[in-house]
Amino acid sequence: MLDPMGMVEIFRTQVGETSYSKLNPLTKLILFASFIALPLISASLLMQIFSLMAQTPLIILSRSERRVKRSLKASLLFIVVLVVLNYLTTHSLEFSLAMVLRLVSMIIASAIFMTGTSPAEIGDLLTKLKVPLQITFSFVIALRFIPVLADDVVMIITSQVSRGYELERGSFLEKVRRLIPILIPMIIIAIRRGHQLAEALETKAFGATEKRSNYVVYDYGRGDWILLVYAIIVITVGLMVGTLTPQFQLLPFQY
Amino acid sequence: MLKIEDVTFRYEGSKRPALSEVSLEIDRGEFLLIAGLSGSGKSTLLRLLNGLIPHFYRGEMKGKVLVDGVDTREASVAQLSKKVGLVFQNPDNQIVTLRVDREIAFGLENLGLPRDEIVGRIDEVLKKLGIEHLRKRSTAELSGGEKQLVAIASVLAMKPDVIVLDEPTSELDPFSSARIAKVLGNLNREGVTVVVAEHRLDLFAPKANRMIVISNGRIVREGHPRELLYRGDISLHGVRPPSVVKLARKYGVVGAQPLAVGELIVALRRGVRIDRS
Repeated sequence: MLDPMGMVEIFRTQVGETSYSKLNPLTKLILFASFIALPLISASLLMQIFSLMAQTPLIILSRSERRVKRSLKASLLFIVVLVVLNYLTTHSLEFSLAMVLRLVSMIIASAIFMTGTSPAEIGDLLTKLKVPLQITFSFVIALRFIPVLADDVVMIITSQVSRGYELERGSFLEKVRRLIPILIPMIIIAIRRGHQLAEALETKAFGATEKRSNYVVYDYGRGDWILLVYAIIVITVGLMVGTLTPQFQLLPFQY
Repeated sequence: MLKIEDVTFRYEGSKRPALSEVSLEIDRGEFLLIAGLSGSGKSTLLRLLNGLIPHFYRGEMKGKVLVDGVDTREASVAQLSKKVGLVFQNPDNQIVTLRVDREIAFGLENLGLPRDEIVGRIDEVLKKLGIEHLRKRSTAELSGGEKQLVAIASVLAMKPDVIVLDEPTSELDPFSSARIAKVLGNLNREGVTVVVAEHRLDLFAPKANRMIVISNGRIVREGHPRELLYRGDISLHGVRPPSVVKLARKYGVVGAQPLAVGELIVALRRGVRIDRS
C-alpha cells in the first residue's frame, strides 16, 4: 500500500520532448501561475473540482497521464488520512475534500511545470523577466556543477574509506563529526574549481559588454496563443465560480 | 604577433618568481610546443599571453607582453579574448552551460554578436572539429575527450588569432588525446596559430614546428622539435623524448630524425643504416 517512489513519480524528469515542453517558457510560466492561482480564488469544492478538471489539456499535452495516475494511486492512503484529519478538526466533509483537492491540483500544476521545463529555459525565463545576469547565471552554473561535485564527493569518500576510514561508526553525533574529513577536501576542491571556472569565464569575455546577445530565442507559436487564451478563459470562469456563495462557512476552526 | 619582452613574474605570496627574464616571440601560423616539468612555469607563461596575468592574478610583473602590438596591461582580458583563446587543463571546470551549442554560443553572447552570426559560427566550428553530432547534447553526459573538444570549439568560435592550450590532454585517455593532437594539427594547417603546453611529446612533437623547454621559470632550450629531441641533453630538464626517438637512436636512424611511428618505419624501410650493436 505504501509506495513512496510512486508518490513522487509525478515529479520524475520527463524523457524526450512533448508538445508541452516545446512551448515558450513564458507561456508555461503563465499557465503554471494561473493554475496555482485558480484553486486559491475560492475555497468551494466546486472551485477545486473545476481547477482540477481545467488542467486536463495540460496533462495530456505533457503526456503525464500515467505519471499523474500512478502518483494519485500511490498517494491514496495519504489523501484519505488528510481528509480524515481535516474532517476531525473542521467537521465539514465538503471543506476537507476541497482542501485536499486544492493541494492535489497545485501539486499537479507544479509537477507539469517542473518536469516540462528545462533548467536552461528557467534561466532564460529569469533573464527575460529582467533578473540580473549574475543571479540567473549562478542558477545555471549551480545546476551545471551538481554532477561534477557529486563525482567529487564519491571520489573523496572512496579514497578516505580505502585508507581505512570508517564513516559509519558511533552515535549520531560521532557520525556527524566523522563527516569532517569528507567535507574539508570537498570545500577545497569546490573552491579550486570555482577559481578555474572564474579564469575560464574571464577568458570567454563574461560581463564584457553591457548588451549581451542571446543565442536561444523563443518564439510564440500557435500552441502558445491557444494556451494563453485558454488560461484567460479558465481564470475568468474561475472568478465567476468564485462569486457563487460557498455552501459552508469558511474556516470553521474549533479549538 | 605575440611578444613577451623580458618578463619576470612572481605570484603574490610566493617568494620565488614563477618566470624569470623570459623573452619569446610567436609568429602567425606557428605551432609552438612548450615542454617542461610541472611547476616549471608553463601555465604562468600561457596566462601571460591572454592577460590573465596581470589582470586576474595578483603579483609582481616586470617586462611587458604585446599582443598584436597592444600591451596586455592596457587591454582587458575580454578584449584580448578576441585575439588569444585559452583552453584549460580540466574540461569540467571550463564548461559553463548545460548544452553543447549553448556552450559554444556563450562567449559570443558575451561579445554581444548578433544571433545570425552566432548560429553561423556554431555550425562552422562544429564542422571544423567533426563534432556536429554533439550539437544538442547535454554537456554533463559527454566523455572527457568530447568535453575538451567542446571547450576547444567554444574558444575557437570567438575566432582568436592564436589558440593557447594548457595541458589539454592531461585528463584524457590515449585515444582522445590523439584526437585532440590531430584536431590541433589540422587547425594549424588551416592557418590558426597554436601554442600548447604538454607532457605528451609523442603526440604533439610531430605536429609542432617549434618547441621550447622551460625549467625553473626560464626558457632553457628553443628550436625545432626534431633538433631538440635528438640533441639528447633535454632530459636534464626533466623532458623525456618520445619512445620513437629512443628507438631511432637504438637502430641508428637518427639522420632522418623521425618523431612519429610512421616516419620511423619509413626511415627504416629506406634502408638507413641499421646498427644493432
